[in-house]
Amino acid sequence: MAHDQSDLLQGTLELMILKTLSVEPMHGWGMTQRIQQTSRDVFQVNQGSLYPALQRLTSRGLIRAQWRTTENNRRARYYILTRAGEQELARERAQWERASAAVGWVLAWDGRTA
Amino acid sequence: MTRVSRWYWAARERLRTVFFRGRAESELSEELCFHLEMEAEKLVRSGGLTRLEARCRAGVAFGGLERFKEDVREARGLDSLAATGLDFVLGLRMLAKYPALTLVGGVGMAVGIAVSVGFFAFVGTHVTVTLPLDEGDRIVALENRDVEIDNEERRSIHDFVSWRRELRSVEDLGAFRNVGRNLVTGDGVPEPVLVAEMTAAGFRVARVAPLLGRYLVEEDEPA
Repeated sequence: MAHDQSDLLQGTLELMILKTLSVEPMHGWGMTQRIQQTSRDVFQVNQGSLYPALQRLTSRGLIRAQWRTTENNRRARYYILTRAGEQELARERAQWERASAAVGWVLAWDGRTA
Repeated sequence: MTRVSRWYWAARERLRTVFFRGRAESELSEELCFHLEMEAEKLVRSGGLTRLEARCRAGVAFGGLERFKEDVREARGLDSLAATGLDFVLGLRMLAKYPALTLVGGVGMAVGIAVSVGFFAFVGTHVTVTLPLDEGDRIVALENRDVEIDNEERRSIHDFVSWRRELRSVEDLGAFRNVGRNLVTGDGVPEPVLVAEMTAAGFRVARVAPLLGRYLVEEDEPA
């Protein structure tokens, strides 16, 4: 079952972008493919959400853009995680894990006293 | 250090967007075109489509480029500033393009301003009433008004006492009221006259020497 970004919680796309860029610098299209691949086709990132999100992260200084040449010898705009972005990723990730664990506990509740 | 780095990259991006707007726009177009081409190539590889078909399908799937650009511009958060700058530049270009219109408009505005200034100067000089007293232009009237009946509120002795105690930018503050009295002259016949009852400060404000005796002072007021 594929979902586009509109199904994601607010801020989740930006978290996934930061995580993707923590591995290596990447252009926008590459990020959509990488997120789709690593989410095992659960998420198909809509470009209409991706580029505004990239702009927001750039404006916040969490990532920066740089024009580079791809392996196919094409000019593309690559995004690079800044040091502030690394810290933000760690913070957001911890928050996400705490929230998802809490949702898991609620869903696992069997009706008896916790 | 991280905060400095974040501030640096954020400021750089914002300045680039504001001062190199044209370049930022062309880079955005190039970036979106690259995305479209990569999507078309993927369709050629996986879907067995011709290059033209793939480009058409990718374009349809992508939707309107302008809509995405608008979303990105909105995410920059500086659109209103950039739009103001653009309005300013366009205004200057129009002024330069139509010099006759610029001249007529400029002269019209200058005449309009001159007429307004002249009118207010005339009214200030000839119409505004100045009290015929020494430095009469420095004397102003304060009045409480009852807005419900749209008339003056005369029961304001407490306000007057408060103002006199607290006002610092006013040199002297006096109060007065007009009342009717009977005046008995030498022949013993009373004559009704209109007189003003006033506080002692009124004499200092008017700076008119008394015909007989001395000014009244604050110590005389209780009497």
